Amino acid sequence: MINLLNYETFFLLYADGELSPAEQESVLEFVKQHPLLEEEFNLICRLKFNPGKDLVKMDKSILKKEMAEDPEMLYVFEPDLSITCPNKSALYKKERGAIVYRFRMFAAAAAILFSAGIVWLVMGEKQQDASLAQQDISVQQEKQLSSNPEGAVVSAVDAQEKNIQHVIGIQQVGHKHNAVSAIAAGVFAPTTVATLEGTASQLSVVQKENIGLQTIDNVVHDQNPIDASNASIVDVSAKPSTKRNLSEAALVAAAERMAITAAPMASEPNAALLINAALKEEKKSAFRSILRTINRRLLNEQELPEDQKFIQVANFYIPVNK
Amino acid sequence: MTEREYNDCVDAHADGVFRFILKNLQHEEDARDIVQTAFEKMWKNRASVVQQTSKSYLFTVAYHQMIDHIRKNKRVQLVDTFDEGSRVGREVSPDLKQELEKALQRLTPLQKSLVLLKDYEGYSYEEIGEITALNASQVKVYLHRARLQLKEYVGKLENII
Repeated sequence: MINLLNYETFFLLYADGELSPAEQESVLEFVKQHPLLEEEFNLICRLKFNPGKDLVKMDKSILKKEMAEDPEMLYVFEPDLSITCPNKSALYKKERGAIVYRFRMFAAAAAILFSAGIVWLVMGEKQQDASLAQQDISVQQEKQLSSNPEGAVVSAVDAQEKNIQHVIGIQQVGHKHNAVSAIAAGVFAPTTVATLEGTASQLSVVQKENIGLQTIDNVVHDQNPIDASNASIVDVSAKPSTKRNLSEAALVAAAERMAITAAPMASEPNAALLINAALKEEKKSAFRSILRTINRRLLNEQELPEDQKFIQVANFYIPVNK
Repeated sequence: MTEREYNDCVDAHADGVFRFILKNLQHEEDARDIVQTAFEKMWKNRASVVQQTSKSYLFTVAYHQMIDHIRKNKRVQLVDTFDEGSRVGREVSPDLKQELEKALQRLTPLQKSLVLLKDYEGYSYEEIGEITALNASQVKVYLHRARLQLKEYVGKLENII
């Protein structure tokens, strides 16, 4: 803000052109308010040198440089795009891809080995569990048989023991053939008792539901135990459509062999052991069971011949040789 | 800076630089030499100088060349103050411009350069400070002192007239 103490500075700034328009207006207003300072203000503004009248020129020719030809403009080359590098593909680097490819191979091989190892361990554990269970059963049976040689083998482990009891009982009665069927049924799957009046759809559904080679844990405890004594020869022709399981036939034959070679149950305290051994042999390989399952499913579509007779045990039809 | 740009700078700034140096030295040959030296120096450093800043570059080089020349030759008699005795008996000219020119020659080279850079070329305090290696406040103070001296000289002269 201009006042009587700093007006001279503002006058010089005004002469130098360093004031804003608003400040210049305030200086002019101040001069109007103080007429005595107007002469000093005008003198300061006149103390400026104007180069217009003092225009002096210099000979510039001695200062200029000769415009030599631009070397960049004299020689201009343009690329010939028709020229290409031959065999460019040979220049590509493949090292990185090979490394990635090898890594993938190794990773895949490692994954396969790891999976196989897991499967082997799991299978080994199952076998060990089965063997331990069999050993427990055998020990218990030995104890019980020693105390009750005629008694049936009762085990609290699973429902399969019940089937074994029935098998033993059947053999005692003398119905070897039925006992074979019962063994087969007990080996493969305990199921509900099928009726003769079952329709084809029910039969197929039941067969699908009861895969005979599943583990013992699939046994339904609340189901009725197999009563082989009530087994009857069923005429296939009476059924509208059936499905045959060839693997069942083979296993039935094996069970039959076991029954033949086995001593009479009533007097043989090791019958349960033999049965256990048979079970163990049949369930030796989980892999075989998987194959059987697959085989059964694939062969379920096959129709049974009309002239073939079968023994119906639960939901399974065991062929009978004429 | 290309050769073409350099020649353009010669056309645009040679007269202004020459005028500035001539007003300071009051000697045409010396002023021409200083201007030529300034342009030669810019040509040598054309790779680092851009056309937009060539004017300030030329004035800066020329000013320092001028100061060096003055110190070397001591041709200009420097008078810092104006006393009554120096003006008594002097021929009085009604032409204010001539008096200003005479008053200008009584200033120091720095004050004279500041006045000419401000009035001839219209540089700001900051730009003048870059050329003369001073800050804006110093330029303002020195320039105001120079103008007050001019005012005092011309004012007393007018009173005498």
